[in-house]
This record gives sequence, C-alpha cells and structure tokens, in this order.
Amino acid sequence: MSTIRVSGVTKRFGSTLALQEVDVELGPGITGLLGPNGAGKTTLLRILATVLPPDAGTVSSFGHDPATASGRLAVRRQLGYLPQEPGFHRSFTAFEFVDYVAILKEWGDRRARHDEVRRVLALVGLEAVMHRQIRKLSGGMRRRVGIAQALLGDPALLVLDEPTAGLDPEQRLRFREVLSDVASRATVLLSTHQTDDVAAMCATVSVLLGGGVRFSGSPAELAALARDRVWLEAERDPRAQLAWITGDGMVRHIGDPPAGVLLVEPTVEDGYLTLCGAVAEPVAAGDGGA
Amino acid sequence: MAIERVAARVGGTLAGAAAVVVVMLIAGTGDSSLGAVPLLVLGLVVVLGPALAARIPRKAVADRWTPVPAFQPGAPHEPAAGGRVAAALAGAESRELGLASSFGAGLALCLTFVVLFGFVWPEDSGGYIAEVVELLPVFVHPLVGMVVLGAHRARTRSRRDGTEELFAACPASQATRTAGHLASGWLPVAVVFVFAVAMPLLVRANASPAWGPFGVRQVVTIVGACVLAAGGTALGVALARWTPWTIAPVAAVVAVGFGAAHLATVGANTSEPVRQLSTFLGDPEVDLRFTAPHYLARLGWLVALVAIVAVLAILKDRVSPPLVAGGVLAIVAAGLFAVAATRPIQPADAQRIAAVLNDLPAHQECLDANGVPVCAFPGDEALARHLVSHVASVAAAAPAEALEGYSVRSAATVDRYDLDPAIFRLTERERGPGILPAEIQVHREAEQGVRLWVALAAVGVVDDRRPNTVLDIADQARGVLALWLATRGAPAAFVDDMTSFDRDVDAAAISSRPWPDECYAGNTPVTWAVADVSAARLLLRVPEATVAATVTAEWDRFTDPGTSTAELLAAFGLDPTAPATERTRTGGC
Repeated sequence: MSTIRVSGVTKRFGSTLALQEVDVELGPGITGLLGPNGAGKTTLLRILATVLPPDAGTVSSFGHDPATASGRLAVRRQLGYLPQEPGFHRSFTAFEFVDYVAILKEWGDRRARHDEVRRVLALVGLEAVMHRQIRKLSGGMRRRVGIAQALLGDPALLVLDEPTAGLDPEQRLRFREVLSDVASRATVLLSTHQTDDVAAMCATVSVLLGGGVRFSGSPAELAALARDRVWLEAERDPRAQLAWITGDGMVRHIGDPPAGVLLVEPTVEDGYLTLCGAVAEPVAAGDGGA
Repeated sequence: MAIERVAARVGGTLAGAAAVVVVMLIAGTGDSSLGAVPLLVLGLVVVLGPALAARIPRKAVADRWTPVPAFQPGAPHEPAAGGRVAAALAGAESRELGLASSFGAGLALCLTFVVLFGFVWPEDSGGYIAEVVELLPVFVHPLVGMVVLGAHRARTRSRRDGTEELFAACPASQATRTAGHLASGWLPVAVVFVFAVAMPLLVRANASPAWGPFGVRQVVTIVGACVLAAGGTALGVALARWTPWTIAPVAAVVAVGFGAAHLATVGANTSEPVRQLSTFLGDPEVDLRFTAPHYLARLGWLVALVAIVAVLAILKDRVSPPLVAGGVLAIVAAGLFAVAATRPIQPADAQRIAAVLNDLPAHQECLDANGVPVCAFPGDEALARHLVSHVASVAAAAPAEALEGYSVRSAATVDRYDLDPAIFRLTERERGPGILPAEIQVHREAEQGVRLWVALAAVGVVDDRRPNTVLDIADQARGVLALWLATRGAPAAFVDDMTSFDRDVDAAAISSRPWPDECYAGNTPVTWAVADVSAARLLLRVPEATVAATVTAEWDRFTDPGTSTAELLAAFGLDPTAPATERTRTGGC
C-alpha cells in the first residue's frame, strides 16, 4: 500500500533540470534512493520534506497535499527529516539542539519533550555526551545528533539524506539496527551512496539518473540487472565497462563477459553500476520504473 | 558534567563582561580613593572566571556508540498550540540570550553601574532617590543596545548555522519562531527590572541620608526602563527578519543612540516638549518636582513603539488581518501618545508648581536648628534632618537675634530660567525675605553652601545684599567672621575647604574657594578678598573659646561693614594680612 505518491514531479533550477516528471510510490518500510551526485536525489527528498515546492506534478503524503498550507502542516507533523547538510548550532549541547528541534515539532510539554529527547539520543548512542556542546563532538557524533532529531516523535515519514555519511562501520551497523526498528511503523526514504546499506536495510530501491527514476524494485532485482555481467579474472579485461582489483588480488569486471570466464553472483552495487554504466532506457523491474 | 556545561556556556558571557569591565578599569572610571578596590575585585572575578572555567579538566569522550536500550517507541503527543510553542522557544532563546557575550557585556555595564553608584558612590546622586530613578533609563541603554545585537544574532542563528532547511521542515512556522524570539525578551526585561529596583534600594541603603519621594512617576519610569528592554529585543528580532546582515543591528544601535541623544537634548530648555519622545530624558536642570512631563503618555508612546516594531517583525512571515489591525492600532496609539506626551504643560500644573515656588513656607515642613528653621518638602524630612546639624552648629556660635526671621529652605535656589516658560511666567523673581537657600541634594559642597549662607546671614551680609547679585565684602571683618562661623562644628575637611583659595585653579574649574562648587551650592552671594581668607585661617588658630568670647562681646563692631579685617585681627592680637587687593572668585558650575 502506498503512503507517499509522487506523480510527474518536475523541478528546475535556472537552466538546470533537476527532476523531470518523476513518478515514485513509497510504502511502509525502508526505500533506498540511489544515484550519482547531481542525479536529483536531494531535490526529490527536499520536495518530500516540504521545504521545496515542485514546479510541476503532485505529491501526496498520507493523503495530504503539501501544496496547500494545511497539507504542508499535516505532512510536517508526521515528518522526520535529515537534510544532507543539516547544520548545527555549535554552541548548543546535543540535548539542547534536539530539544530545540522538538519544540519546533510542537512538543509543548517540557517534561514529555525532554523524555523524548533523551529517548532519541539514547537510540543513537549519544546518551553519555548529550550535554556536550556540538562543537566538541566528532563528525560522526554530529551525524547521529542529526539522526536523533529526525527520530523525534516516531515520525510516520522519515526522509534521510545520506544518513550514514561520516559514520564508521560499527556506527552504520548500529544505525541499521535502529532504522529497522523504526521502519516497522514508518515509511522511510533514505538517500545514500552506500549500496551495502541498501542491500542490508531496504525493501525497495529506486535509482535516480539524470533527473528521472531509472529503476524501482527490490535490491535483489537491482542486483539482478548485473546477472551474467560480472566476472572475475586474474588480469584486467579492457572490454569491461568497469573493472577493479579486489582484496584477494582478482580483478572484478562488469560488462559483457567474454566466453569461458568465471561469472559471479552480482551485488546491489554491481546492479547499480550496471545501470549507471548503461545509461540506457529506463529499466523496468518489479513494479516498474520511470 | 553540569559544572563543565555551565562553565563552557558561561564563558562567553564572562568574556563579554570581562571585556567591558577591563576597558572601564583601564579607562579609569573609578575614583582612585573609593572605587579601585571593588572595581578591581569585580574585574578580577570576570577576567579570571573564563580562565578558570577553561582549566576545568575535560574527560575525553571516545566516538563510540554507547549501549543502546531496547527500542521503545516515543510517547504520543498532541501538537502544541502556536502560543505554547512560542513560549517553549522563548525559554530556549532566553537561555541563549543570557549566555551570549553581547548580553554579558550589557549585564557587566549594569553591574558596573550598580557597583559604582550603589556601593562606591552612593551619594553621587545626593541620595535623592527620585533622581536616581530618573537616570535609570539612561543606565539601561547600553544593556538595551547589547540586547538588540544579541536578539538579532539569535534570530539569524539558523541562517548562519545552516539549520534553516531542517527547521523549515518542522511544523512551527517562521512567525511562531519569531514570536518565540520576541517572547525571549522577558529576560532583559527581568534584568532591567531587578537593576531598576536594586539601584534605588542600594542608594537608599548606602547613601547617608537617602531621601525624596517615590511615587507614581518613579514607578512609571521603572516600567519605562523595562519597556526599553522589551523594545531592544523586538528591534533585534525585527531587524533580523528584514535585514539579516550582521552590520544591521550595529548600525541600528548607533542610529537609535544618536537619535535618542539628539531628541533628549533638542531645544534650549529642559522643558522642550519634543524631548519627551526620546528613549531617555537628559539630566534635568531643575528638580523633578518642578517639572510636569506627561510621563504616563510618554510610557504609552514607548509601549506603542515597541508594539509597532514587534508587529513588523512578525509581519515578515505572516500577514493576517488581526496582525495588520494590531499594527495599525499601535501606529495610531503611538501618534496619540506622542501628541499627548509633547503637549504643553497643563495650566493647572504650571500654577501648582509656581505656587510652590512662590510660597515655599506654605509648602514645607521645618525642623529647628538652634532657633533657625530648616525646612524641606514633605517626603524630604531626611534632607532637613541632615542639614539641621550643620545649621545648628553655625547658629549656636552667633547671637540668637542675629538669625531671627531667617529660615533655611530647600528649593530656594531653583533658577527660574530653567523652568518651563509657562511656569516661569507665573513665578516671582524673589523667593521672599529671610529665606536661606539649600539645594535639594545632599552633598558636602551643598552643606558647605548652607553653612556659609547661615553665617553670612548672621553677620548681616544677606540683608545688605540685593537679591541675585554678588556683594563685595572684601576687607570687611564680618566677611572673615562669616568664614569662622561657617566652620563651627564642621569636619576638618570642610574647614579646609571653606578657608582656602587656590588662585591657580582655572576659572573653568569647579571651584577656587572659599565658596563651594556652584553646581552643588548655588551661585555665590559674595566675594571676599583673598587676604580675608588668609585672615580666617589665622583666626582659626586662636582657641575657639577665646574667639567665641570676643565675638560675643564685639558682635556689633565685628558685623559693622565699616570694621576692617585688620581691626578684627588686631582684636585677637594678630598681625594684619596682605592688602585686600585681590578678590576671590568661583569657578562656576
């Protein structure tokens, strides 16, 4: 069941077409949004977060139309948003900053608000440093402060723009743990460059390329795009679209394999790279593409 | 953890405070004899505070994910109404404003004023509580200026720190956020209120004596000072919404400061009506009770101004009919209050004030000082009590009949030309016979003036002098006798003051003696010969009992204008001083 519908959304910045007639439907659970830099991911997320109006097309979030003031307010009341560069009041402590956002999220009762702030900060493992000024926190900790504020009030829609950027592997795993709990009750859209995050967490994945959705489906279906197109060889094959040396010294190739090579099971990353490298027609998989 | 957090956040405040106090110390604001120690202590506290805070050891925190509890969903919450959100924001923003360096600097200035005028120089105001209160709006202006800067910086914080996108995705609107920032003005209002109440209380506690009325006018003045603090917040927030550049509040503070200073001094007379539109009133040249500003209307003007600015701040993000109506109402109210505050003095007020000045005896209460009434207005009993000891000791040294018909009265020195023209026209040139003037203030110079007036009256000079003129009593025994009488029972410092003359003092200096500083003692009624002052010093070396006995015996001769200084000295076996060729002069005010 779709909770978020994006239909024919177009957004232009001057002469740059950021999004072109994008259609996306999101349902409960985690949807990953992949795409190279400049593909329009952040623009789409900002539109869903109601901070940027589309030039054309419609958005429906839980039945509300963000184009109207009342619809925007209704969406924002159900929204948790982590911008790509959220910014922080560096003189605030982590607690004060999240508390400030909680106030802006209309938590009026001080005690309840503080309980909620402590809850979300504990969820991201910042309980011990919540009273430290943000200026004194590491980049990873700041990212987690950003995640914490997005989790305030168990939002029904969670829009996260590269939430794992700057997190070390352990922190990313912890983040996945938290997000999987949250996603059982919410619609989550996360933009990322980490294809393993998508493989590990997302029920569905969309790939934005050149301002349009080129793929929508499950991570397995995205990986399947590279089926029979990934092989290992001892030497680099110049005919491959992409090739890199793996940790065991073999060269992993993506492209049209020559006969007789050792084909391997593709990953989401392989599928994504295949898609990016193809720059071809929209690829339909599962319930469709753009 | 709590200490570390507070130390870290308060550092900025202390730094701001330290900067101000250090500058003031370096600038030599303090009186070296009185103010150095308290100021130094205050300075050390604020200077060392941040340094000590910085030295608190901080435990390094590893960037690890601390143990996470089992996932618990958040408790459901109902969206709070806009007013409640604004109130909660006000709490957070007032905390930030309180910790801002600019606010700390403003606070430091207020504290400096409190230390200086509440503890170090509590008698600088003459102990006159009404005057202390009247100056409060001037004192709070630096804090208000700093609040403008702090409020502007707070409302532009999200723009500066890049959190605007995140906040824009929250349900609270820009208008609600602006309202929250406006409401954070409760903090500077509270600080100004505490300051405005503490200052007169401290003067009352530490000045000896403290006196004067504290009524509706003073309450309104204190409320007005608090309104200024709210106005500073509103101005800072409004500027942040319309001109979010860093230079904007600085320019605004400078412009408002100069504008207010210009308005407060415009025109030739203190009673210039347009002065009422300034955010503060200049130091009045006449006592407050002889002016009748429309202070309630002036308060209304200030409130309306603040309301206009606050509405402007919100209008940037929300244009709603009630808000527009409120803005229009505030503009209309400001206009009406401006007209009301600057209208001419009411005839009834002018007549009431003139009647007081024309007939002081009918409006004052008196205490007895060895037969000489010492009189002051109701509410000024402490002033009268303070003067009694001075008058009594002088009167005791003169025959009782010499001062018969004289009374010492406060307010007798009010200059008609400083009054509102409407009052001026109704006042009589003369205050009435037998009135010896006492300034409406407690100050050593004023007390010396009273002593001299009583002494001069006793020796007959006051009777001989035409009002508002300076009588030359050079080389007259009675002039020397007056100086001797004036020093009776006086502290040693007074004696030195009243029997000295420094010809090296520039004419523009406060005084070259023996008449005290005219700012405090009023215009001198006489000039002596410089030699007379020397003669008085010689006389002071003769045992008091000897002089007193001779004076009593020779009173008529010594008070005769025809008796010379040399004859007086000869009566005590003293050699004559230099010829009376040089006159004393005062330095004016």
